[in-house]
Amino acid sequence: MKKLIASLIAASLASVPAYAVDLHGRVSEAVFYLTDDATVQNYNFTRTRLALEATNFDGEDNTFRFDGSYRTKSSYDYNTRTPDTRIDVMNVEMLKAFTDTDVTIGRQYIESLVGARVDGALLNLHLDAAKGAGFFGGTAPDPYNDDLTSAFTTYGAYGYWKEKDGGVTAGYATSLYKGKEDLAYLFGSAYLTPDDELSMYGSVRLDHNITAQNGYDITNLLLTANYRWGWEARVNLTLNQYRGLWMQESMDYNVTHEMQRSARVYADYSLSRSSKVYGQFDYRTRDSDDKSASLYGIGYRDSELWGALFYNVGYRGINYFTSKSWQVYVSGGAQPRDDLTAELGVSYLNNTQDKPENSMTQMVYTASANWLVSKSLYFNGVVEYSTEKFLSVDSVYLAKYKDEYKSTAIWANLDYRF
Amino acid sequence: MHKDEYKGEEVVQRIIGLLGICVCLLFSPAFAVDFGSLISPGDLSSYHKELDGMANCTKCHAVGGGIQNETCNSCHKDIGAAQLVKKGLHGAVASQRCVECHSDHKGRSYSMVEWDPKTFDHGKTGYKLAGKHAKTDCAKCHKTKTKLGFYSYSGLATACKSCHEDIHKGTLKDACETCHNTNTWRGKDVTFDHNKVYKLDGKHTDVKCQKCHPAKGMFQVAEKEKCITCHKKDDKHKGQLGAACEKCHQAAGWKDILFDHSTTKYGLQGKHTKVACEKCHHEKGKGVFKVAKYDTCDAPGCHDKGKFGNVHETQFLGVACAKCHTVEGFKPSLFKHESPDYLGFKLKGKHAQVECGKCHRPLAVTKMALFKPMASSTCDVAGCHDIKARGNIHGVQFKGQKCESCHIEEGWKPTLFKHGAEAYKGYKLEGKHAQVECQKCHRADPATQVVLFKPIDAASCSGAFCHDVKERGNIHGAQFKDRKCNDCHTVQGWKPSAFDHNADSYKGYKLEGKHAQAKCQKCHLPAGDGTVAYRPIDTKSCASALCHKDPHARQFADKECDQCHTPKAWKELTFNHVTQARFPLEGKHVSTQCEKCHIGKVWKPLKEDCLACHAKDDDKAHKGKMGAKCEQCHTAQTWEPKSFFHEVTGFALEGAHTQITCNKCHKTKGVFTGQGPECVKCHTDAHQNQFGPATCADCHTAKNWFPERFRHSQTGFRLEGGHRAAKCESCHVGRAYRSVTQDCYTCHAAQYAAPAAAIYHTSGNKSCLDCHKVYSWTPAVFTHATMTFSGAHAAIKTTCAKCHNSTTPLTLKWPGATAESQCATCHYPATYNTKHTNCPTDCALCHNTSAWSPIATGVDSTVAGSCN
Repeated sequence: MKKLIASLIAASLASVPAYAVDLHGRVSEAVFYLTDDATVQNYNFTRTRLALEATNFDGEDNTFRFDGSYRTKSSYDYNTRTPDTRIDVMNVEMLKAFTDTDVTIGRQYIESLVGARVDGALLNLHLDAAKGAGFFGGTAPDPYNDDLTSAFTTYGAYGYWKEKDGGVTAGYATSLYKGKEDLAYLFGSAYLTPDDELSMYGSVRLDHNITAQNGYDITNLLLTANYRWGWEARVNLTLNQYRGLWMQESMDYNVTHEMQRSARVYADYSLSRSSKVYGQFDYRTRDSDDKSASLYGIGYRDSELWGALFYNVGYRGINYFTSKSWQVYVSGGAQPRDDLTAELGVSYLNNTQDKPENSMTQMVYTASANWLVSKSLYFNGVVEYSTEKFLSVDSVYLAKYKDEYKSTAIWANLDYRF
Repeated sequence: MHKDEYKGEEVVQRIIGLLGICVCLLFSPAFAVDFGSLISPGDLSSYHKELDGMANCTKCHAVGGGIQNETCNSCHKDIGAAQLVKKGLHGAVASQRCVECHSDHKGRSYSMVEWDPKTFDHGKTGYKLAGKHAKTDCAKCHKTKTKLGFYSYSGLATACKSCHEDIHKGTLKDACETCHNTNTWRGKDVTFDHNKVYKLDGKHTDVKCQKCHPAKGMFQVAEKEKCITCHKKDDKHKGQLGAACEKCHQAAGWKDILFDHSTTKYGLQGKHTKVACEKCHHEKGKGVFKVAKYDTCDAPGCHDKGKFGNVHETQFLGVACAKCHTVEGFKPSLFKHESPDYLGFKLKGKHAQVECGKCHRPLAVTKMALFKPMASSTCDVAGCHDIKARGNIHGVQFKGQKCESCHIEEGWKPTLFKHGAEAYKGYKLEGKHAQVECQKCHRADPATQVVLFKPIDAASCSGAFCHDVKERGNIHGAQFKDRKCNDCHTVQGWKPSAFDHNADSYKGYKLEGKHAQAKCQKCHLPAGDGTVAYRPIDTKSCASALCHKDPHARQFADKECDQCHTPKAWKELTFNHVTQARFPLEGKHVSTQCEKCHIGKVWKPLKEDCLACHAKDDDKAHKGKMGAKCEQCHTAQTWEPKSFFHEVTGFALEGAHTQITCNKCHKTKGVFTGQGPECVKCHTDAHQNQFGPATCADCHTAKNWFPERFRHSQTGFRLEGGHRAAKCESCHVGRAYRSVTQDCYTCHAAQYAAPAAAIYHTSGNKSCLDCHKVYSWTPAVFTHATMTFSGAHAAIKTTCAKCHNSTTPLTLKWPGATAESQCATCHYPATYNTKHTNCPTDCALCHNTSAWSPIATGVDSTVAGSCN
């Protein structure tokens, strides 16, 4: 406990000269700005993130980490349920706080147990280099607005065994809303890489269904396998089935408890050192629909044209149950130096909603840049400008305001590491 | 009668009947012709044919019946004899009747003895055949025949001698099987133990039997314990030393003599113990060891001059040898020049180390060394340092001078003469000259070998025998014939010379760098005659001047050396691998030792693929699994794949991925494979696994996590109007991005129930689009079913609260008027009662939607008037 307290102090007062500590970290500020002439509303928010790692605190062999991410919106939002501020993560971690046990306190995702979040504590026990177990508990962030609340509580545990060639993780988590079970599920995942060519990954989530006489429904199942022939060709097969999360006690709106399934194959083939053709096909079904969806795409990319240029062209076709779309896109850029990448892209999308006369076209222009200004300073940003033209007399909502909408979105992130 | 009893009686009656018939037939006339043939069971075999006929039956058949063995044995007497002593096959079956095996009356050709020699078990005879016996033809042993001419297999004794000849002629008393067995007669199967008779040891074990037993099979040796029995011919002593050989000799070796000389009157000591016997016992005929005369060492046959060269001849006649010599060694003698008792010439210094014979030399004729005192007053006495006998190198140069005026006993060299002495006015030796041996300059005359230590011509180095070309190999030959040696050389050292290649006065080839340190002869090579020409050499080509061997084996025969090398240092190349080579060096290649790639110093261009040099590295790191395109991951800057071309893995790094360190994803140190392209391997799925890890890239890109690729129109729910700028979480509450229903109320329930809007939603209608439009939620546009908004009403069509609000008493709550004709619904009663006391309630009589006041023209005046 003494170390734990020290970790908290280290994270917050690491820069105080009285403490000798090796401190490294990262602070980033991201801005998102969206304006659309379809509405007077803008959508803006900023996100601030601070990550710290303090080692050798007070001359001892120890490591403390702090991770915090805070989001605040600065624009009007007609949905009063969305909070003006949101804390994604805010936690302090101490490695080997108790012999081989790492302790993390605060708001955090439980990385080994997909879907679990807690405002509380996590004990991650390393049995050896490959095996370990974790236990967590506390209140849970409000799933609807991320508020810190005592209405939701959660706890769970997991174990893992991870070697270079294979590993298994299994765990259980439950979330209570005002003392009643809101969500409870078992989660397991495994990976296997028998050789350099083949890798397989699978995960399954079984949610407790109160109405199904204490039975468990498969909420999510994923099986994916990658195989490559040297570096020249690769194929990926993925099977996935999913149903919406149902927070049985707290949810005051409807989700369809239907199962959706997807079978996807992706393949690429390298024509040269830097160029490849790729394609994918995704076939989907859902319980509520007697139709099926198919998504397919082909493309060609070259990552090193004339040394510093790259480009990507492709086509996507989407027949998504009730709508049909096709899209062509081309993007290209330059990486004149390892620390600078700039890219321009344009795509054209044609969408017919429920009938051909309700077609809509969209042109999207993007410009992005990634720039490692110095060893410590990193910037990346995207500007996206789109125009949408509704060619039908009436839109899908049987109302018409304009024939053409224009929108601009900007995402910019500045990252400082020390 | 019982049925069975009747049946038995019937059988008896039938047998009696048959017997009656047989008796009748036996005595009938038809059988009376040859009655004998009627009672004989058949002809006898050819061996018994003499016994045929009725008259002979009783010769074999006893009257009482049967044939007795004695009857058979009366003829077959040998069988009978064997049975009597129970030997042989028949002896073993004596209790059986002969006819049990040898029946007869079966015809002439019947063989009464049925046996197969190949399968016959000889063991039944009491003598089992083993070893070679089992393979031996029967007739080899069974040679006797019966009177009928058949081989008789009986009567043969089991003793070996029955069949085998005794080559020992009865000399050996023991039974044959004592030494022999049935396997083989001789060789290794002979089990005779010689040691029981005479122990064979030492050299005896290897001696062939015939050496001692020359007559075949005759192994008995009389007086076998005496060596002389066999070694008589070996007795080189001719019987002189008797027959007890074992006194001196032993079986281990004839020459390992056991004789103890100390048992004689002269025990051997010192070097005598190692001297061969014949050195002293050298009488004619070896093996004759007559007693030597041992009273004096120079007894004839030992150290006497005649036989062994007594160097003193008769010089010390009468003096016992032991006076000077001991048996421990003839030399050194006990005589000591330096002994106080000896008053003659004392040996000092080097003299004390000189062998006696160096001075006391043997006389030329008698070869006798006289150890008499020599004339020691002069060193060059004959036999010591005189010119003839010992090579006095001065000849008669110093005749009259005593040797010791220059030489001392401590060593002939150096002499006491000093070139540098002040008293000496001749050539002073300086520098290296002072270290040179005298004879380097004062050389011996080839003919007389006399060395004249006279002053030599010092005016010219090459003038005398010193540095002249002929005698001392002046390496310049006649090149500097007209120059003095000391123009270039000094007495401090012949090398280096005082010649300065780099002197301003010298206009030839300047020596720079390593050239300045090189020895002259590295470039000025000796000619065949050993002379070195220090003339300017061809410096245009390093190799052509024979200065530098071409280590490149003429790889660069068409290039000049100085294209790569400089005089500064051979290995400091001026060759620019960046600009001059087909494979420009970059990064670490620049500082890599050339031989790392150019193995064996083969400088020719190599294959340009990385594996030409990095095959071992590849084998160690990738075991060849990554292929030969190393440059896809590695650069010349560093072997660490910092600029790893991730594209080749099938997962190109883009955007933010290009700026993170490898270990962000490859968390196991050193393991860069098996990660897979699934985003979830590195990223926490904030969507709670709704889409599956494989489909992140459908929406997100690596440029940033903003879902750039996502187009909501592809989901079947195009975003229009206000939705386009809405925050995702507005509808996707709780981050549920899938399975959200598309009706407005699901997302807009809060607005629907808001107090400000409740007044409009009292009907419970949740078909939002009846009033609202997606491009503008407010104002809502309600399409009144019966209400028309004409005239002034048009202006308030969208201002619902004009008619629908709860604060103004005059205004009706929802629902309000349903037609424009129902004016009072909205316009009543605020002013109506004060102004329309007499008016009808039908407003339209006076007002219209164009304007409320003034009242419309053409209105009935009575009505209008009353309205006031």
